[in-house]
Amino acid sequence: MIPRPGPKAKSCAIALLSALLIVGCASGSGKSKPGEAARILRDQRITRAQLEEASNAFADRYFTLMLSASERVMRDNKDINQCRIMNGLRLLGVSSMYDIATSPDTITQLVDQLVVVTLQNYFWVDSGRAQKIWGPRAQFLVENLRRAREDIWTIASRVFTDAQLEELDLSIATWWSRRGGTEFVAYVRFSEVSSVKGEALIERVRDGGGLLEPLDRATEQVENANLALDRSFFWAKRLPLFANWQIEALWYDMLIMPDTQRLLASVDTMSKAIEIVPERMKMLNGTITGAQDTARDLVDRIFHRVLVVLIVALSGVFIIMKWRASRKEAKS
Amino acid sequence: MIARLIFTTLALTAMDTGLPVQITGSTQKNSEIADSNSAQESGPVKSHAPIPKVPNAIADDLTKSPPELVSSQDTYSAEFSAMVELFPSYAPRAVPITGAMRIVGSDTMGPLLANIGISYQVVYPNAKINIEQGGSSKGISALKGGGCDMASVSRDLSTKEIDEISKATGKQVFVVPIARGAACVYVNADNPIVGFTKEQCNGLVSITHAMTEAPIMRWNELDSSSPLGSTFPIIYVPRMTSGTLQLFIDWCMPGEQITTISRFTESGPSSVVNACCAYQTAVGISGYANRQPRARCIALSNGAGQPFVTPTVTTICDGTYPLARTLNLVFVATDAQHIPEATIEFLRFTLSEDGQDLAAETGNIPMDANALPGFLGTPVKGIWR
Repeated sequence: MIPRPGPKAKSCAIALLSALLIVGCASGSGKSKPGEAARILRDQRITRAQLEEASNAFADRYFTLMLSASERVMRDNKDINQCRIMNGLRLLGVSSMYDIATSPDTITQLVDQLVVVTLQNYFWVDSGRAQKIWGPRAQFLVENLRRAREDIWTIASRVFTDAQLEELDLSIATWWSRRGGTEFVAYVRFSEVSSVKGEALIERVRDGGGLLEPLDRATEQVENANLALDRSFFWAKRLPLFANWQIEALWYDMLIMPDTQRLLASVDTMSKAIEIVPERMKMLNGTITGAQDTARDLVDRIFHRVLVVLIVALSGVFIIMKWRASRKEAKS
Repeated sequence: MIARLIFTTLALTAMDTGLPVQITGSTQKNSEIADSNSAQESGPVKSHAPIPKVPNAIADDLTKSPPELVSSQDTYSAEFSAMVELFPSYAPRAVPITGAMRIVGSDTMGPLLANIGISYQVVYPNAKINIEQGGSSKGISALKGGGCDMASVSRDLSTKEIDEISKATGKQVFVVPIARGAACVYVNADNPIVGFTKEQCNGLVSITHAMTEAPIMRWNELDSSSPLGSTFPIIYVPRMTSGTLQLFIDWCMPGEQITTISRFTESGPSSVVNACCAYQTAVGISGYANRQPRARCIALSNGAGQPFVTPTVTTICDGTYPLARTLNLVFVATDAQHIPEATIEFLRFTLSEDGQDLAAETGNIPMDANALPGFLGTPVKGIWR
């Protein structure tokens, strides 16, 4: 059995390891300078390009989440209204998200995505509205909306300090508590939620008051101009992904109209009638086959009886003839 | 005779074959088909009945709130109205209040104070109320360091904390309760669990689980009949500086560390409740004001054999709910005679009919109108003057 190191041995090992680490650090980085921690922190700051990338990636992720959730809700769902609302939700949500991702300012993109997703969670998840409309089918959507919220707040935590995140959270919560329940959340933007205070927050972050790498205004403008083309391409490439949802939206809008509903009911009846025809044919076929069998059976039985009767009759005739012959013989 | 015999035989044969019976059978089948056809035909007749009108714009559906969604928790009850009406009205001062006031602290109190601040700034447009969140502990630290005018604290302050603030600032500490609430344990609305005992909370959330032999890791360890079976309860908590979490810790796991297994720290109290609304296996610790229709505040018991108490207006007001609390504004002054005018006016507004109305609207419970702090003065004919 290998003896376990005692507490003394452990503390010696820790002391040795610490000493080695200190020596290693000292030899590697030289003399520790004041503001070293700040420099490391600054180096770890997220750049605008990274943020732009994260924002685009989030838009794609949101698209995937909504696509999979809507598939669950709409697959084999015969309730046109449920499908229509789901299609509307995904269409507006995703188009809004791509609209934000291709807007000119990177920080505004992030806070706008944050606002939309958080409000969607208030509106659809917390209130139980999703379950009310889609019943048990809503669970997947609810979970995906929550995942989107987790993702976007995680991205935001790379840009904003804890205090700034709390400020954002408070702005959204306050706005919601005053306007909650009746707003068209996919197109609410941070500027509406936070007014002047929010602008100040963005300016602070832009100037390096957050975790985002500061950039002078001129460089920022040049960067934004360069990114404009990329954003157009990004938007153009994604557009076909959900363009058919727009057509579906029109289709559902048409389907839900009362006249269309009546027409559909008639078509439904007709299609049901058409569905019945082969069944009836099958049944008729069965009846004919049954009748044929019965007739065949009947003929067989009749033939059998006739044969019996003929045999009996012939036997009778034979007996009679035999009797007459024997009588003639007796007479003669 | 032979012909008669043959005829009789044929007649008997025909009867034995049961031909008429077969014919009758097929007739019956045909009648069934006819019936089923008529049944099929009667379907569309029903579907031609008037179809209820459905709004054809997506926006209508996406924005309208079905009336059934308004839960009892969200309604501004008549009980609240009666409580609010007991407070004095607020009449603005002839000389308006100006200048900024910084309030730092509780996340739970954030929306309440922000709403009060907005309304207060309508009364006094030149006054500026800055609200910062970060948790009750952050507020206390800021008050100690002179970093704010008032701290918002969503729990009772310990004597030690009051002494520390007093020592750090050299002034007297004033604690003014502005609303009532509670720390609540939330689960998903579909989760049928009735409640948790103090020991169960300890086993679930504490890393050292001093009150239970083993940590509680699965739903069926909390309730053997739980439909969630052996799935893990996922715990969502606010930041460690949160007064709500501190109150919960002080109640069921004093001096112990919070578990790191299946635990997520959320950015705010509403996010904790949102997780409980979304995930069926979630357990969240958040304030009473953050309740939502898809999350349920469960009952708590002070220990095995003790009654389970659900957080309601009654149980919070009478203190029978174990985690009932007051939401406080804390500030320092040399003495009651030297409290700044701006502070006095803000507190009067908060403890007026308007302020308490906002407290109720933001999900909190109004204070007791008969327990107003003496240093605010006495309302004249039901009006703060």
